[in-house]
Amino acid sequence: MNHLLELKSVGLEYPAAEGFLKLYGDGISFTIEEGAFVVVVGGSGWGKSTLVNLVLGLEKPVRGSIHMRGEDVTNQSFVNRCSRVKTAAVFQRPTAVPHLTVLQNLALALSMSGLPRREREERIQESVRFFGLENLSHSRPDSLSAGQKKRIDLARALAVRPEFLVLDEPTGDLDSSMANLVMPLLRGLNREHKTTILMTTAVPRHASTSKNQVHLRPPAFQSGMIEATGHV
Amino acid sequence: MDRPSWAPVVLSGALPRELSDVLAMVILGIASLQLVLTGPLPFSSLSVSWVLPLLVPMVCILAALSNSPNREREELALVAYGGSSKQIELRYVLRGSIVTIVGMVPVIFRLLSDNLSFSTSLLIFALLVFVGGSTYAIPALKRTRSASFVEHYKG
Repeated sequence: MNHLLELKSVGLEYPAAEGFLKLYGDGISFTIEEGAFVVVVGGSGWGKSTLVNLVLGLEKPVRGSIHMRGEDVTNQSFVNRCSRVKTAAVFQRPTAVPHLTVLQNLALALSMSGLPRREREERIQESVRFFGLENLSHSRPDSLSAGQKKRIDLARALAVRPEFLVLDEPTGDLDSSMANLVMPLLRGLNREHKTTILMTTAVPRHASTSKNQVHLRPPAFQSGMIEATGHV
Repeated sequence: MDRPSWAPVVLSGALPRELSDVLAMVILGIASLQLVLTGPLPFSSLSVSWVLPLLVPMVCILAALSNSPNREREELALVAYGGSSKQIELRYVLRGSIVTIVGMVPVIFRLLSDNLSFSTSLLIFALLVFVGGSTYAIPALKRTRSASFVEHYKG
């Protein structure tokens, strides 16, 4: 199988009271094959969101390298990485343009994809229906709850039909019924569309979604190399 | 695969729509009107030409600084949608340029109605539009290029 993503001894350092805090010890290394569903498991403050930012190119590691389909993208931005692998991201904190309605937000995200207008509209309607956003489609994000905003993010990411979907605690703000809907949807997306998925979670139950898991350790115990196990 | 199109990110935010933008246009409009009504051709005399070059950058940067938390949320969303910080800056340059042009409409009419060779005036006008656009983009440039920008994605 081909590697879609490969992290080689990637590490970060943050200024701390006593010098620098090293994240991921001497480095984190793992590979994600095309079409894999990988879950990164770890507690709060263990570096899950930072790992997502590193993978997306929003933060740069101080050591190690990141490869996408064999090419070194360590110093490339998110946009440049997206031009290599069509990537969509759902962040822990909901992100939507505040002055646009739900529909307009989805339309803006899809308008960047270069798809024909008709297909864009079909995908938007499909996503809106799936995530139960029909009654909210003309609302602005500011008037919605955190869970509803997270549903907009998920609808946007799925409407784009990415090759690589990166999700940072996607069920964090969702109620249990919606969370229970999202996990099978992600599995279906992975199986049917061969979408490669990297998801972080602090919920052990959601980690069991995939047998491909990367377990982070608390920063205080992150000495030595973190190697992902299994055929990740 | 093609790169994400830059046009939606840049053009979706090019039009001034916030109260601060409207106020900036009104302030520039009043200053322009006063110059047009009271003096010679606005850029032809050193005694009056300092008003707009001083006012344009200050008004534009103030307009851009207002409502910063909301703008930052918009910028975070645009990056998440696949936009780059350069595209976001360009949309603010465009918006700032439009604010400046609209604010200087009286000057434009004066330049057009005076049947003079206005190449120097036009050059100064273009320079002011560029200054307005650039200064409008400075706060966004600072926000999106700061190390803490992506920290806002974390819960």
